[in-house]
Amino acid sequence: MKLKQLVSPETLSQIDHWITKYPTTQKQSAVLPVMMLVQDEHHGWLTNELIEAVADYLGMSHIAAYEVVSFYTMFESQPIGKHKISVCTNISCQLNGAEKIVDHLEKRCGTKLGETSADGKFTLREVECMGACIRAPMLEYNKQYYESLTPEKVDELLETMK
Amino acid sequence: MIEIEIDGKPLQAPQGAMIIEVADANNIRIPRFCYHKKLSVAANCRMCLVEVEKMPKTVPACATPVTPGMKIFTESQKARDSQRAVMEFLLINHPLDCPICDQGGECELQDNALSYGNDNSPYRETKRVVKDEDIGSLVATELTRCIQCTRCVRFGQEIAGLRELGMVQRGEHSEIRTFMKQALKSEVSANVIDLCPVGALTSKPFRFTARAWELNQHPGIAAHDAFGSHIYLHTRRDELMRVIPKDNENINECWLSDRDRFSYLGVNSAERLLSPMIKRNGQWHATDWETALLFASKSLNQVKQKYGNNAILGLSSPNTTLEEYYLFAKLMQVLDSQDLTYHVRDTDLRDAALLPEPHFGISIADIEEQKAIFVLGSLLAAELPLMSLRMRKAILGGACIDVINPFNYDFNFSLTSETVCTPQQFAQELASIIKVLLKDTPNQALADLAIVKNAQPKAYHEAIANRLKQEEKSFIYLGALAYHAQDAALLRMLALAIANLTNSQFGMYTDGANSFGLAKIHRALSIPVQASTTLAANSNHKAIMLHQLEPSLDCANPYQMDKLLDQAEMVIALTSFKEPNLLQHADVLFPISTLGETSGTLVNLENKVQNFAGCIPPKGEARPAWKVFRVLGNLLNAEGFDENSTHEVLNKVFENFPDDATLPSLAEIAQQLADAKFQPVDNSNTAHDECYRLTTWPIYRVDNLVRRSDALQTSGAAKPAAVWMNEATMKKFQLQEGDKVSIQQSGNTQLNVYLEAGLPDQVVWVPAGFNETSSLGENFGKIVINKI
Repeated sequence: MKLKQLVSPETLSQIDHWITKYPTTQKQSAVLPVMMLVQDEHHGWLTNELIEAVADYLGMSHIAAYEVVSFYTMFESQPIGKHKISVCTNISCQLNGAEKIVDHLEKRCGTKLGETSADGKFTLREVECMGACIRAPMLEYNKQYYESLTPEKVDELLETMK
Repeated sequence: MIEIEIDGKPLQAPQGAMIIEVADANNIRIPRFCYHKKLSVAANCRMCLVEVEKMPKTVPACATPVTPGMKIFTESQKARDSQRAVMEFLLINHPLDCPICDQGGECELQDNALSYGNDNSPYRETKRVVKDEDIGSLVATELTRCIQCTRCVRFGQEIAGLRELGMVQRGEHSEIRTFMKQALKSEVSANVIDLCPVGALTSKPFRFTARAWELNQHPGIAAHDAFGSHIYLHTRRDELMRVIPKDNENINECWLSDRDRFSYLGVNSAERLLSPMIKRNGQWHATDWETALLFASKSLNQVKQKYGNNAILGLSSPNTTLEEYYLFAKLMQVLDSQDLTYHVRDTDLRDAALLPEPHFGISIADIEEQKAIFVLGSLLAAELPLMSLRMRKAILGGACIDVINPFNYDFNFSLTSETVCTPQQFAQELASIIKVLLKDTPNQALADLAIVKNAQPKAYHEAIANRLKQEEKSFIYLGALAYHAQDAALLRMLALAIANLTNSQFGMYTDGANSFGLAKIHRALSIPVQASTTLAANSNHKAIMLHQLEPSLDCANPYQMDKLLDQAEMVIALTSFKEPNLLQHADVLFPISTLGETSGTLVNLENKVQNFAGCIPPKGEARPAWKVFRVLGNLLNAEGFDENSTHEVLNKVFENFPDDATLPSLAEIAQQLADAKFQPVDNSNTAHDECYRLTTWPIYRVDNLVRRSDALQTSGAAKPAAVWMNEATMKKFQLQEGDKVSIQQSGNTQLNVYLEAGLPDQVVWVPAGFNETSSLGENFGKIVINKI
């Protein structure tokens, strides 16, 4: 299917806007923002059909688009839970107790790091440094950073996710 | 040129060259995995680290350009230490089980580990394991062995123009994968086998059947297209084990098409004919050579005595060697017949007087230098896979390419313009370009032609004409669809006129591996050039000799051929295989040699004469075809026929070998085109309940050997026997993809319907070379389709 049939006209106009930022012969440079827009519109993950459609739209090979999706942790190519929580376990966060946060999250969400809970509510992702070391440990949820985490703060956040 | 020094040796090097290129040019060995002379520099394996004076760290030789006065050390302690460290890292995740790896013995990793590695490693942890993927019938994967050099990925991106493999995930999870587990579809996909420095990508058919050190290597010439690619045949004792490319920068570079690489699998087909056979009372009996030869010669003599001149028809595969065809032609002369041809698929030879042999105006290497290319009627990668790579290089170098085709064919490069029309309109399209050109270069004779007068040039005709005229290096290529079209001769004359008016070079597709050479034999022996369809239509031949030909699969009009064979009293077939249709029609079968089993000479499209030697004995009782023709000559008590080797035959061929024919002048072309016979063959409209059929021989259906290579038949580039049409045509006949339809064209058949959106309305594509389509008539023409 064509990308036009798979995304809303608003998203398509945003996609076209991103493409104008690059030389016309290098449309594929826009692959990251375009994938992000498409993913946001489709329950946070990209089907093979969507990846193909984006690749065709940007004039790149399917496998090259899939390489991008598989390389970056912010892209999902399998179904994920309703809420995706990305926890940093890199050096600064680790020194400041990321493991404790991870343990707590796993217990509260009822799933292991890298997996989705049985009720399909939570997906936990381990990510590398997101540049918020100054307030480690941290996690990212819904494009927002939550910093200087304690188990209590995590509980507060989880309360807001219904 | 600048002065540099490698390992104390003063050298001259071109400015900007990488250290590794200079070292390679001077036979200084630097280990490498990811670097390949034909691919872009990735510098990701780090194996080629060398020490450079005044540089604090060792640098990758593949990505460091030389500078004046640079002193490079490839074997210093520092360089060796770096190489050893890289080797140790590469071996962390690579299995150390060479004895069970197919690449063992010809593995770059194995060699480099021996020369540059340690004999043990402190690494004790587990190695990573990567799941294999089925990527088709040609290339086997063992991805745990992959060292992530990405040569295969770069090959797809840069050379093949079809990126099928990619490096997915990242870091230590990186893996080579296809998107959604697809089989490789490229016609040159198996080159990744040669490129892979380890045992991650290996040849699926050859895998685990032999070790590199058991094999003998024999140079040869690939015999499936007019490129004449250079190959090595690898044999173990008397068996052909595999075929790999032999480097030749002027022809195939270091590549090989999958067709040339895997056709050898047909040699051991279960259908091989192993002894001469004679049919008595409808039953086949194996017999000895003497009986079969005597039977055949006696029968031929009888037909000649009874029916006189031209009662015998000779049909040969266009892959035939010069020697075989020369003796075949001589034999036909002895039998008082001029009816011999290798033009089995092309039907229009009206231009034989002006253009007695095919033409290809530029060398293969020159294709990539062209700046403007015009292609008419071509599925390029399926016709001449390596030409597609050369043209791609021209495009990447900035050339424009305009295409007129009967459907939107996926070239492996982007086109400047693409126009879709039916093959019936090809001539009119060319005439439109001529009309544009005549504005600046008036030529009354051409302007007076009806087809030019009627032409109504559009903007793209102007654009094509201007590009061809403006660029100094411009090239016009007529593909297989133009070569096989009903108006092929007309198209050639019109294209030659355009080439003349624009000062462009002209080149054409030809069938098989030796059309260029066989045309010369016709000229040397003054045998008229006629198409098989013309010969079959004009007379009733009472005896027919077939050489490596399966008429129901190889001929332009299988229906007509079937009728012709039916009425013949005697059909003698020289063939390597027992094909059902041959068994039905023939009276005598002679088993003859195929790839690797005989010596011979082929002429490629550059008119380059290339010899090859036999390297394995023929299977069973099979013998080289030239010997069969020779003995038949002896048995007919003809003079000559006393050669003892193909070399002696070739000397005879060369005694009277014509020079390359000169191209006709513009005046001659115009005069010829004015002739009444140069009218389009079939200009009528397709009736509302009919379709126009166009035909190609799919890449792996072109000759009897390729058709028996099972791996090629099941590969991603293979096409099924089916009928392709666009959506409007489907709707008109109330069809859906996957439906079965009955097709009527002389005979009848049933085929599945596939969608090919780019076809014009009421034009359907029905491939030849299949049993399913062997009951149909002409390769181009009207057909009737009915839903079942």
